[in-house]
Amino acid sequence: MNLWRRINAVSVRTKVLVPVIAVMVLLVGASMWLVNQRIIRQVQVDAAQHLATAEVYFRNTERIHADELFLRYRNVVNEPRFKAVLGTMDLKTFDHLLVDFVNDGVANAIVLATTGGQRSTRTRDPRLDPMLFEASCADSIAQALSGQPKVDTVRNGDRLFDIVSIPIRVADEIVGAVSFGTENSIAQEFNQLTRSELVLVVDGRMMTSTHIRPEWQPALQAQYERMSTNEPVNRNPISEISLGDEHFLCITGRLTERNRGHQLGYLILSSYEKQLQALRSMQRMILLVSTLAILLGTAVVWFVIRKVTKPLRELRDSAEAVGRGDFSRRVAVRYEDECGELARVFNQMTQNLKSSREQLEMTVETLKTTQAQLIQSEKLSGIGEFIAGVAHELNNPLTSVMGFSELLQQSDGNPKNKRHLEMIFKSAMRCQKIVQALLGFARRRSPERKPVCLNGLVEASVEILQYQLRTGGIEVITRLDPNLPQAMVDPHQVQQVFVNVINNARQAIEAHQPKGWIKVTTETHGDNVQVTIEDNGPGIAEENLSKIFDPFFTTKKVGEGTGLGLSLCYGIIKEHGGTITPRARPGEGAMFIIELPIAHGVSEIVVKARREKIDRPDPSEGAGKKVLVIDDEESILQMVREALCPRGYEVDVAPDGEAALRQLSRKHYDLTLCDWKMPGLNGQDVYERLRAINPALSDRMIFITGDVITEKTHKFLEEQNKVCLPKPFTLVEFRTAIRKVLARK
Amino acid sequence: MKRMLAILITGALLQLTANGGSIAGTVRAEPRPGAQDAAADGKYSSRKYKFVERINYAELRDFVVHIEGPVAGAPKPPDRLVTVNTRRVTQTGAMFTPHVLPVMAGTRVEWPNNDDIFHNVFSMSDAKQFDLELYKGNPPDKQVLFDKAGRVDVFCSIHANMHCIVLVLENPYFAVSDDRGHFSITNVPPGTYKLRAWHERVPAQVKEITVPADGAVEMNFVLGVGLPKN
Repeated sequence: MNLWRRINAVSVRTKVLVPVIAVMVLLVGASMWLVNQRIIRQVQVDAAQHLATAEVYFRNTERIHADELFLRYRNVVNEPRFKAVLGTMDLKTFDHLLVDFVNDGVANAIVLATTGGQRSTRTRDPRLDPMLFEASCADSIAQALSGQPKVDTVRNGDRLFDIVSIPIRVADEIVGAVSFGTENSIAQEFNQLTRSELVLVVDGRMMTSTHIRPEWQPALQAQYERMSTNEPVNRNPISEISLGDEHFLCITGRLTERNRGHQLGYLILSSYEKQLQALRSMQRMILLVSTLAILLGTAVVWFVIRKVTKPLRELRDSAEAVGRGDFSRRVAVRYEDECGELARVFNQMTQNLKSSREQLEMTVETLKTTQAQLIQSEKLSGIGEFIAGVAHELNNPLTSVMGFSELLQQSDGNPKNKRHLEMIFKSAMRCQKIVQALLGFARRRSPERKPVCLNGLVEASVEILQYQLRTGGIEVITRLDPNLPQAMVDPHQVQQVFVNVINNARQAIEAHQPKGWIKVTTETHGDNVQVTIEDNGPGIAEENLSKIFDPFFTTKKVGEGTGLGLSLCYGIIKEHGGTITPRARPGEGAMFIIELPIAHGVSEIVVKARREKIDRPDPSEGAGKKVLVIDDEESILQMVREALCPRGYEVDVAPDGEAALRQLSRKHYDLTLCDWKMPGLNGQDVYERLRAINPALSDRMIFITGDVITEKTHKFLEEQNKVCLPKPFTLVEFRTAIRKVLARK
Repeated sequence: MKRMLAILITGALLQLTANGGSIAGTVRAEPRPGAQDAAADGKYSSRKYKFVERINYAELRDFVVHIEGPVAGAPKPPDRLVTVNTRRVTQTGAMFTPHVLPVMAGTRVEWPNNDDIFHNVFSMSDAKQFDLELYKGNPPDKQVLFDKAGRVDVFCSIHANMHCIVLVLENPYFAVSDDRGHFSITNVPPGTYKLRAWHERVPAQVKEITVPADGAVEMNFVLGVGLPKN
């Protein structure tokens, strides 16, 4: 199990390479073993065959040789010279003849024997002892003397001699015998012809061999004896023998009729050492070639595996890279095979992953932005609700302050008091403007387009920020073009832009220096109205200039700014078809140029009545006119009554809707003034009930509201063609409205 | 004085012992011009000269100089026996002595065996055919009469090395050269003859000679074998 796990852990290269090498090595080993076995057997069979042939050849040769010798010497005794000498029966003369024969090369040695026991021996070779030779011939001569010619092979010292003994007859009577001895050279001839070694065993002695070394003789002797004793017959099977470092096949035999009746043994040795050597050298060669082949094969396989696994490794690397988040990585598609397909699919996968991730990032980005905007707007909305509540609460007292101060101005003749009252009125007016601006800023409104003079918006914006600017030691310089054409804008949004930009300038100056100025200029610039807001603050760094409109970009401390301000501004101006351009240098202040298109062909609608001259109240103005004022605010009721009574109006008041309806059902009124927002029945409820019971009177109904007029309210008012006076209002506005409604009769 | 005396004595002697002129001179053999050079630079081993017999000219002996043909007034062959001895000179070989024997036709030759082994004397030559069988010693029946002129080669039947030549001539005017090649023929009747110089191994030479009634004639022979003609 452990082994299996270890095997699984090795690389593909090893997995393939090891079996391939193992198979190759096994193959080579097996083939070498087979070849070895087969060739050795073949070599031995060949050698055995060779040996058998050699033996047959040897026996034949030996027989032929003996026959030849016999034929050769048989007629010597019939030669005239021999016969002539024989006739003399003189041994000396014979002896001389033998000398002649020997000198003529008839034989190496000649022995002449007579029946009388006389012997004469002549040898050519002085080393050959005649007496010794004569002794070795004794058997042969004895047989010849008995009438039988004899061919024999005898040993004489280290030499072998073939002896042919021929009986000498005179008139069919054997008178003697002559023996011719010639040196036996069969071993040499045999060796030359058959390339086998011939060892003759004479008198138990190893004889005549050219290539047999003396030290091998004991082994050969033993072999001969073993083989010749084991087998009773002449023929012995072939056996193997190792002499020194040579391998031989050996066969033995006997020539029974030789060696003086003793056996002439022989040993024929055939060496197959040369074949073995050839085999060994072939083995070496095969081994070398095989080793080379295995090495080459291994190299090729290694290369191929490397080639095959290369795409795999590349894929692995790429997968790793992709895992790290590097989607730019691609796998090269080199081939059109499975690897290529895999690479292509992998690349496709990477591409898909990349786009999915990009989409995801984009979504997250959008989500973040949206979330931030949502948070911001929620925050702003909350602030707006709060401000709206405060403004509403402020509007009622402000209406009272303004109304009573006007009434006092009308009644009091003291110029000093009048001046004071004027101050009070103006202050109240200023309060009203601030509240209105706050409401305008805080209230969410659907975008609208109407021709607006931007000067007013600039002023309103400065007004909103007046307090902060003053406390920050910042002087606001306005250079407003009195003849500035109107622009078709949503005043609330544009005001928000101005407030934002001015506020940014203020914050920049405050953070940087104790005093500063902000210059706001309006002018006509071609088809556009141009508003320039300039400051002498620290300016904007070069590298930030291109990023200031990016959402969430801010240079303020964390928590101080959202980074949304300018981007909202940019969005608003873009929506209006205008441009907002920053120009700044570090240390030299910043300048924002806002351009908005001029509204053409739209006449100015005067929203507010011109300020009337404060005049004496005319008691005839409201004579016979009955007015019901409905409001939950006591001071408002009081003020309206006091403002209208001197003009001849008959004024009744109701603190809420229920009371007002009761009064309306009891008495005829010419005009109804109703607060829009009241506890219990509100202005709209009162109107609808009144319209049910007295539609004519309901037509002459004026609403007063301290709240901002919502979209719904606005729509309702327009449908019913109703006048609504926003609190706080001046008496002039109030009276103008009353007059206008009464005129509807 | 002494010289004169010597000449006188010699002349007197010649005058006393002989009746006629005498022929003296030398005979020798030498190679013909060119043949020696060819032999020297080894051309014998070439194919062309392979079978040319090599002759050591310096060792040639037994030249015979004789007058050809019958000579009128010549004496008859002598009655005494001429002897050719057979004896062994080495352990292995026996020989006839002399090797060359010029005799006048009608001369009887005896062949004594001085050896201790048997020898045989025989000839198969045209001039004389005979076989004396094997014998030892000098039995009286072992004599041969050479009655016909010609060359007779004599051998021993059991010893191949034994050989002698009996040159049977028509007149008694012949001489065998000595070791130095000198020969001398005396008592030649005056006249003009053909003088022949012979050797068993080189071609013979014949020269015309006129022998005066008194006095000596000198005649020298140079025999030799030339190269075979191309």
